[in-house]
Amino acid sequence: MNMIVETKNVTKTFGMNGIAVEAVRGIDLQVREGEFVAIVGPSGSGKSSLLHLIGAMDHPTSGEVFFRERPLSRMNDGARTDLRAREIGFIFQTFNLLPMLNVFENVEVVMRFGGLAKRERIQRTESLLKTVGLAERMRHLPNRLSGGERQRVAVARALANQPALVLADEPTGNLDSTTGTGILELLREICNSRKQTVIMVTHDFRAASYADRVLVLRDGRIRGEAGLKGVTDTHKTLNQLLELELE
Amino acid sequence: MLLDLAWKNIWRRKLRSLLTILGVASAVQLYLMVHGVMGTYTGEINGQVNAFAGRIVIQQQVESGGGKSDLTSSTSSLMEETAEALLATGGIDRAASSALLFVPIARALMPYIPPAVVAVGLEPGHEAAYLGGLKAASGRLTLEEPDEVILGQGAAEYYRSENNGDPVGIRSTIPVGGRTLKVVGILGDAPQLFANAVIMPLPTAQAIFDRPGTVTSVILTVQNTGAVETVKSSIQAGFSGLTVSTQDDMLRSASSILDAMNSFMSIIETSILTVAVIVVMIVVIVSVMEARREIGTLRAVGAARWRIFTMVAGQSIVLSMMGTLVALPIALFFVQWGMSDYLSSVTGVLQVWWQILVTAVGVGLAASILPAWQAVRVDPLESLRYE
Ligand SMILES: Nc1ncnc2c1ncn2[C@@H]1O[C@H](COP(=O)(O)OP(=O)(O)OP(=O)(O)O)[C@@H](O)[C@H]1O
Ligand SMILES: [Mg+2]
Repeated sequence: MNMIVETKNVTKTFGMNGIAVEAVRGIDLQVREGEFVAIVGPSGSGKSSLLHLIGAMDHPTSGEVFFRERPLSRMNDGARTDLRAREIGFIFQTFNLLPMLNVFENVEVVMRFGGLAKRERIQRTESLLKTVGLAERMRHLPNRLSGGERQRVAVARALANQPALVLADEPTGNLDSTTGTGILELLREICNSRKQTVIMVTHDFRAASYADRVLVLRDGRIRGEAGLKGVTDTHKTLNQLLELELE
Repeated sequence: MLLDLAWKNIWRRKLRSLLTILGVASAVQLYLMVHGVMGTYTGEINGQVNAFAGRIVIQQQVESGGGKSDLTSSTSSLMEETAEALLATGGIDRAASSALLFVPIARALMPYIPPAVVAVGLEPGHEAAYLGGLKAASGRLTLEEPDEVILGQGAAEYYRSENNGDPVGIRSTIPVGGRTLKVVGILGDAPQLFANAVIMPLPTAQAIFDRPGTVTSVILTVQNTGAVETVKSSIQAGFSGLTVSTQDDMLRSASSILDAMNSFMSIIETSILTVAVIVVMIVVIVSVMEARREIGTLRAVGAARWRIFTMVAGQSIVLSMMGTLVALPIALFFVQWGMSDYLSSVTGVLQVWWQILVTAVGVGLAASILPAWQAVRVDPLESLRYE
């Protein structure tokens, strides 16, 4: 199977007021096309930072990120932008909806970047919003929505261009268990039937159990890893991982 | 394109956008007025010059000698004998040539524009020297009795107040310097030099204004237009101390005046437009500063830099266009009702609609360069930095 994402000894150091924060400290990661990977870890362990590096939004301090074997550091701004528009869908931990656009427009606008024709944009936006249960709220502005509803708009937007890679930062963080399950099943579904790849950050082990593989991140390093595919007792495997996280 | 986002950004800050539009509107309005004045002025001077095709105007030498002869100069003074000798020059059409006396009745509001109302004395039977090519709106363009007068439309308007506010027309009488003159003709549309004229027989004018035996100028019409320069040379050879102006000379002198005026006015116009550009620029810069996180988000979800550019430039152009749209009716109002004597007609302003459009887009584009440059440099990461 081909690798869609590969990182080689990637580090990210933030300098703030002279104090260096090493958020990511040398991560080697390989994700296959069509895989569903969950990254778990305590707050501040560098999960979001890693996801931003993979999503071509941030530049690593050292090391290299490859997207389908192309090193991101070699791409110019236009190519990276195009990658973000067409190949990568990002679900932000902080949602990042555009406040002046309503729910429909928030999803529709990124399809322009993906180069879709108007009629297709309309049709696809409507069906995506139906899928995430927001068909009735299409004309509402984000500031009229609950946290969970905004998160679902963010999910719909990330899926808008049917990207090869979906990067989800805590996509169920604000959702009740029923709606959360719906979103997780949706992510699982796009992996299974459309061969899209999902990398999901979460600190919810129940959410992680939807993945094919779970990585534990701590202090910017990968501390453990377990495949869940074909495992009957996912609970036990996850508990073992949990101990790694707490160790 | 993200032009709908540009529109939404404008709509989001209604009061601010409204104030910007009003600011742009007053600048553009001012610009249009200055432009209109300049247009009227140019048209006026060209109209005058054109009216003198094939004619030669002779005045006493102007002191500065700079060639800026003023056709209606009342300071020029020629003896009647000199005028007669001039009128005897060979190669001229005597019927369409005359000695004239120009005396201002009311001063003009601007320099180089003919007096608001000017008395013109000319030899009866030789009206064509001055009025050749013009048509009457009513009555006749010939003077038969000593107390008859022909009025240009501007002059007729001027005497309205003397006529109990009623329109002055043929058979009306007007008081000029203690005499009562009978209006026998009203000129049709004509350049201001003619529109403002109160035309009467030369002896009458000499008597009223106490200039016995003198005239201010002589206008000769040459029989053969091609011979203008020959006639001019022969006059210059035979007489000294005279300024002899052909249509070409007038054209030269007019364009030197117009050039000076134009460069002065274009400084004013540029300053006005610069104010408009800066107003829009400040507002769009502030709006980009406020929207950095959203611009970062747009970049993060795949908006290319050129799309961000269209959003910012679009916002800037829309503000400038709306300002222009507001300015147009105001400018037209002033042109139509406020300053109709000194500005071209409404159609004059509208004829340059495409110039107005280009100006509006130009102001918007110029204003957007700096903020757009700031906006396209916003990094996707900026979408993550705020909370
Ligand atoms: N722009 C930044 N400047 C300075 N420090 C940063 C920046 N971004 C992240 N960090 C630091 O890097 C570390 C990792 O942050 P990151 O957001 O990746 O953690 P996380 O695992 O996503 O945490 P959480 O589960 O709370 O979202 C933290 O200590 C954070 O303070
Ligand atoms: Mg995070």
